[in-house]
Amino acid sequence: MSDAQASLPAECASARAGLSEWLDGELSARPRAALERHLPGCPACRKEAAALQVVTHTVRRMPRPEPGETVRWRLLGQVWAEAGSTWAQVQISESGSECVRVEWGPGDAPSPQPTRGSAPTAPGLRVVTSVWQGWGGDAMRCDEWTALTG
Amino acid sequence: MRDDLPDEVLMDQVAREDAAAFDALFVRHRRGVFHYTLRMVSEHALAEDLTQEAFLRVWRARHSYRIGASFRAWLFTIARRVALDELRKRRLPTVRLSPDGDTDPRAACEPPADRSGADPVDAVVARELERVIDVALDRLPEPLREVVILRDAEGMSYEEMAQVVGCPLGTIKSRLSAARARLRDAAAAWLDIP
Repeated sequence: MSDAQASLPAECASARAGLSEWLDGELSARPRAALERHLPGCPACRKEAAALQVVTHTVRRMPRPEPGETVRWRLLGQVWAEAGSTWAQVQISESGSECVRVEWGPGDAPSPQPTRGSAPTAPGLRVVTSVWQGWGGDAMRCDEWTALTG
Repeated sequence: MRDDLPDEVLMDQVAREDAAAFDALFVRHRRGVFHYTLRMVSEHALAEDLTQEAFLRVWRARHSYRIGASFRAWLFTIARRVALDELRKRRLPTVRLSPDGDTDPRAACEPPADRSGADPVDAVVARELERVIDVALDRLPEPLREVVILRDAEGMSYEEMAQVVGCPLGTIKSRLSAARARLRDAAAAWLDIP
């Protein structure tokens, strides 16, 4: 119990100790019933509950950034390399958000041969893009791939 | 479509060497893992490296994933370990001051919430409240900060959080309550409370 709660009437201190769980719908039946009996008659505790609710909603609304797209390709490059691959074949959805098909393996790349270009990726790994729908139509992705695979 | 498949089904495919399933899991969870690690280490580039490392460890451990267990809790357990290892290695402080305005890489990542039609005064108050809570969140001790992120930003259940953090449920509850109380105290002036 915090110092602030210690100076409160016992019922309010007990109510406030459970507010966080109550807002999450995680407070068990008995304390929840006691809290819900207390709140209608206690403006101070209602105000406290509202304040905590604003805090949680504010955190929920905060931006959640994405890592750069290069992280995805570096990661896949590592995975392929660890699998002992010398080639990989990638098919990306038009939006670029989904890797529809990935194949990789040792030795020579299988047919069909690349139709839109190829680029090296992790050391010793040759990437063959037999279908790369974003290629040319998505300069950023192409640039990122080029920068990554250098 | 893989988009419709639950994490656990995709992970089962990953265990059978399906890299496209692995990529689908990465795309689905990269934002959450990156945000969590960014809040832990406070450096954008480092958080990207840690995100990559966490998913690489998922790939390496694909055969030890227990079918039926929560994939998300397992993933964040790995991400947490990666972040804590890095913090220990670098002896990075786990508390930081948030950079202001446009220098914060998170600021440009998502458009601000649509407040068209809202009272301009309310919008200013909401923005300021968000800034104050953002700074206060970064100033929380790491054990308190991470439960707020896992619960309020990632929407985890208490049980998942307990698994990720490796603490009893009661500890999770008390940390979350204490963390929210501190955020509330920091923002008291904007919440119209004493």
